[in-house]
Amino acid sequence: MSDTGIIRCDNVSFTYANVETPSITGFDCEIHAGQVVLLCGDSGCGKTTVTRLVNGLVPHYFEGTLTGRVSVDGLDVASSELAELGKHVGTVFQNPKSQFFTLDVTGEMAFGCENFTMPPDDIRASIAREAQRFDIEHLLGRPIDALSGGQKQKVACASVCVPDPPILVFDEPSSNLDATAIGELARAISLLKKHGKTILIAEHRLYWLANLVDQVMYMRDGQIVRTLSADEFRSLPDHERQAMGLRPVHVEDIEDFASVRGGDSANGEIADGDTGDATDAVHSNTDTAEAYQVEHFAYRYQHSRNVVLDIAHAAIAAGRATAITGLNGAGKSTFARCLQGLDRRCRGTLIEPQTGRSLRRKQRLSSCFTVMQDVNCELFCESVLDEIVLAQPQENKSVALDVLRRLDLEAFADRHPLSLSGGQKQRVAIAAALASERPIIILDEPTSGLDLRHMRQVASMVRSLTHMGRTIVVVTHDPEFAIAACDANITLEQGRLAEAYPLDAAGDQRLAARLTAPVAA
Amino acid sequence: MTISSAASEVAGMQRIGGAGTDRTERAERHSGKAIGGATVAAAGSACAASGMPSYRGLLWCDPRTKIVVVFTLGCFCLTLAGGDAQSMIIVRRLLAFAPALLLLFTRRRGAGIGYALCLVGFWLVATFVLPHVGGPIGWLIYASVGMMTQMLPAAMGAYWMLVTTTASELIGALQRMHVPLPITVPIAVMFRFLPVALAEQRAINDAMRMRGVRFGGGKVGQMLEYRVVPLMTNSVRIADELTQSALTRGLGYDKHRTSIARIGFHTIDMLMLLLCAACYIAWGLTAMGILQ
Repeated sequence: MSDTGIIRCDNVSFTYANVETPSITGFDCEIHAGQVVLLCGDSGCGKTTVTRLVNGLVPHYFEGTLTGRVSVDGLDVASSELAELGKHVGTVFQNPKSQFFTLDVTGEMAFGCENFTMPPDDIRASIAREAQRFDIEHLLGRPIDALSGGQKQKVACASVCVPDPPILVFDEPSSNLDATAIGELARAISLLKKHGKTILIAEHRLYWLANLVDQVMYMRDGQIVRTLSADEFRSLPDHERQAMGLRPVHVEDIEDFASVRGGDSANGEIADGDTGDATDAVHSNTDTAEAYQVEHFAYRYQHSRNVVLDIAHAAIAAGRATAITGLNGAGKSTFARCLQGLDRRCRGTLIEPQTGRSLRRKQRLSSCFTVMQDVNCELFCESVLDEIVLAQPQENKSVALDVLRRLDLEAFADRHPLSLSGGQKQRVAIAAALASERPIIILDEPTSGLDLRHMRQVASMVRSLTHMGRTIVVVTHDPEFAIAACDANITLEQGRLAEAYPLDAAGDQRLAARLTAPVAA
Repeated sequence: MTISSAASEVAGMQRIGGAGTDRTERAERHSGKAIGGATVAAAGSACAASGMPSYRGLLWCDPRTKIVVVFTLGCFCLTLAGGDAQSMIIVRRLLAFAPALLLLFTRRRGAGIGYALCLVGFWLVATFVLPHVGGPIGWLIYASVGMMTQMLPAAMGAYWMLVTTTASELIGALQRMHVPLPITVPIAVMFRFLPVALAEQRAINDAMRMRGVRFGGGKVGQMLEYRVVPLMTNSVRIADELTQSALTRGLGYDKHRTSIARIGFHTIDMLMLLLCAACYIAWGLTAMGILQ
């Protein structure tokens, strides 16, 4: 087995049904047992199709035309049953919301083995073994809803490992994870590697994988255009990496994203006289008249003593982009909901600069506009243009068209929003925010699962919104994006404001170090 | 991929589960015999490690027993079966305290103690306050105490059943009772999909509130469309991804399917079923005039 490779693709091409262009063409690869292989490249380069070829979803679930031969662990994928392949290949998907079939952790871990008709006692023993291996014994029996994003992804890993498949496939596993969770995922994968599993990972965010991978396949237009060894990958020159459209391989490179922010002098102004000290930065922000003042934001869940959010004071510079960072569960999203005024139980006011008017919850509802994490929840209409018109304070088609023109979406005006790609949908949602003519625009995790090109596109959209005088608040755990798009950073920790500083050179460094710490450690 | 095909997928799984249940039992019995008494403790600890009984406390019983208990509570306490015969009133009082005990032994001490205090409170009010209060206030107290003592026991019993039973146990049990698929499938789908649909609905609601008041003004048809369309498209997408995930994990591997849900009658089930049976026997005897 070891000399022929556990995964082999020979001249494979696949075209999805109802699509004209093939997703992958003439794809050849050979992966040996025990290797960790990274697939990278732009969105739409065929990475996900390759993972589906290995786990059998192509051609068994997604129909289309397949030529060439794929063999996995000695099985011919095209002629094997999908369920049989499941015994050999475990798959961890991108979205934790839709990969769990049951509602509790134990049931979820048992699911695969129950399908494979293992005796119940063997299943229980396997569950105990994997739970110990992934250090999630304390989670067993708990409802999956109650877990954090990182815990969910660990449970997903453990669940696919219970039937003990030799091959594991990860499809963008980090897109919904914060730094701590990515650190945990990295440890889980290195553990699996130690146990001799063969691992195939399709991923955009790369820094956490640099020390895990044995081989990197760079894809473009459905083909492998370059194969790198681990050493080549780690020492990939910066300009080459950027030309390939890849996200940073090393934590240090993340700071360079300031170049996207580029000539904006925004952070310079705020940083004037700043010594890099957190308290100084807070004060210099506070003293600026041109800043929204967040006063006494507090929120707690019903029947809970723990305060989820408790911010006595914070300043958000007007006409600038401010990043709200912190770990999952630090209260970032709650902060965004409170700022938008969506939650009745949230206390606190927002004081406008210049007028000094304090905006209560109901007023904030009509002075902020949130671009939600899952943009599918805010696309209601039959055409992109209608979507923009719906968000306008007064319906006005020519203004709406102008907004679309400004964001390069004019060509899509008559398309149905749901027929667009994920990135395009997001741009439509941002266009709707612009059309709402509200002064504050909030973006909730706008870059989960975006490749370098799209991430930069969103970052430059944020920049252009600030040039139009809008105040942008970006909730994110993506250090690359925060540095590329924002002028200042507010870090939340357990619902409290931990630090606030402008994103100048020192700030960039600090933010990058903070948001990647658990991986670097 | 549509919702209906996802539902049929779930249906398929449940069908598989149904067929596989006796196999489960057989496998369990088999392994129990083979391993022998010495390793039963080890299996027990593996089970504890896999977290099975942790949130259920001391009193573990089969979902079918729970259904019978709740039915009995409803029959005697809620619908007052058996009428005013002396012995039936005693049965009813004993039954009313049963949920308190059940809750106390299944790690719901707060609810159990609270319920017991309520019962004692009602009794105190009925014996010491009611005789001294007349008129409409007396009638009001009488009606509310009467209604509460009638409804609470069955409600608390149902609460106990819900908090101590997982979806897979309930469905496994229903299948063994030969409940037809048209009933169990919607239950399975509801358990998995209701939370998802609710979360999506909440997000859609947020997006609509953010867009402001125009939704309020008269456009009922459009408002419905705006609510339903994203909900449907998102549900279909999630169902599609869920199916992919389930298929790569062997759904449909075999016609049969094993289950780690521990379903089966034990001593405690026998005891509880006997007690329930005793209630019905007492009813029968009073109806025949043997008991007063």
